[in-house]
Amino acid sequence: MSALLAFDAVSLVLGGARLLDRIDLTVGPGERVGIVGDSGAGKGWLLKLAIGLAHPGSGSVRLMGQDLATTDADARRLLRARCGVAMQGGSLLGELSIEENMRLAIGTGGGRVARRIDRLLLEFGLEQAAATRADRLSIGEQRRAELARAFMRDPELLILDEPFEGAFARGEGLEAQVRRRIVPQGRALLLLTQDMVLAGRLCERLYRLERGRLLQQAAADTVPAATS
Amino acid sequence: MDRLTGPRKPIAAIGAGIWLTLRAARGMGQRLIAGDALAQRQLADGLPLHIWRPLRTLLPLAALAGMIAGIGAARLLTIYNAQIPVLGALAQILPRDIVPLLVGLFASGSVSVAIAARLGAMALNREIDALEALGRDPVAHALGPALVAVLLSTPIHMALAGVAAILGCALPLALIANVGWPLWAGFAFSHDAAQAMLTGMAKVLLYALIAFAVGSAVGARPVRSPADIGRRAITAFTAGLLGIFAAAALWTGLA
Repeated sequence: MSALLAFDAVSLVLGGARLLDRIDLTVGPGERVGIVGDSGAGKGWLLKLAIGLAHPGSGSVRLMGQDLATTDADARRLLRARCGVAMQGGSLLGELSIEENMRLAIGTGGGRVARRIDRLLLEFGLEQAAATRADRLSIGEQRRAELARAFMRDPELLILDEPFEGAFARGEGLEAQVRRRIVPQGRALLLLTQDMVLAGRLCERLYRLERGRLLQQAAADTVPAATS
Repeated sequence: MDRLTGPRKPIAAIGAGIWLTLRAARGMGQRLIAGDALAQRQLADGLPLHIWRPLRTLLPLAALAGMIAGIGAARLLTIYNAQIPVLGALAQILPRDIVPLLVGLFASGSVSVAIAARLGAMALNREIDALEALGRDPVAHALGPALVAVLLSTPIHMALAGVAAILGCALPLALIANVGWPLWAGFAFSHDAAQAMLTGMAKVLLYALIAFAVGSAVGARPVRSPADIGRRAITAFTAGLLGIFAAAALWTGLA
């Protein structure tokens, strides 16, 4: 089966500095891969490259088997729509309500979409905030809303950049919720984080991003029984 | 676009503005046809912003512009007593040239600045990236509702500003030149004046599109800090003014 996401010798130079240096990475269906790196190591750029929001200086990125360099903007959007993405620092649209932000991920739809939104909001503890503007929520609530939105389209691949940042009070519950939505359903995950322990809990394969290179880490423990 | 220099830079900016405007129109059309409830809600939010709110300033401005034109015409009438040519010319110049330019100026100050600032804020808050990550076209989402609201606002602004200018004109004509309302209204609402109003509406439509395209092109440039948003807004205003006056001069010259 072809990889959902594949980086082939990807390099990125920004402002004269080599941020990413010949990165090779594949994420297959159902695989959970974690990339751990310090702040400024280039994890955010990996996310942008993975979904075609930025282009590598050299090498190629394939998403769902399609080379992002050779697909046009509309085709790239269709590919991205098959992924669930949560960006570091949040990326909700502030002037829209939480429900509208959720709806944005799936487009038009009637009662079935509304029920799906209600269910996700309930699961992520946001049922009271559905009609609230995103910019009026706390950071933790925004983070939960963004994670809930990432699951709106039943994505084959999740790309989460520091998914629990700012959600300290409910971090454990949120992690368990995300795990329940990924592991039993066989979804692939690319987790970008500074937290090696978190990455170890959620992922099967771990890399460390250091000076632009990916260094494979010892195999993480498989996800414990709580996920089953 | 930022790397370009010389004459290539404005040409690239004009191209970007036209491309963004066409893409916004196409994207919004697709969203409305698909019955996108969010598009309808955004449009409902955009209508007061682009149609009703500007009227609070635009109508007094138009009345004052009409008053200034009326004072000039009234002084001329006291000297030459040539009511038919002076009032006829005034009734046509107001809706064909003066009011459209005023509405165009206003569009440059509101539409282009509002759009450039909104795009800059969205980029800074990573909302553009978020839309892309969700597989949405940011142009259709961010610019589509504003474009429809701006296009809908054009005839309303022109018609109401035209009436305000005619009313503003009536006062000095009556006080200085003793021209009564029935006589002035006969000129102001004549067939020729109506034709001039239609020409004026076409001009305002063009000016609004120029303001929109300028705001889009300027707002789409990369923003690195909140201060950039203010700079972009000023650039959008001045570039919009330049574009609208250039179009007005070209139209007048070719007409």
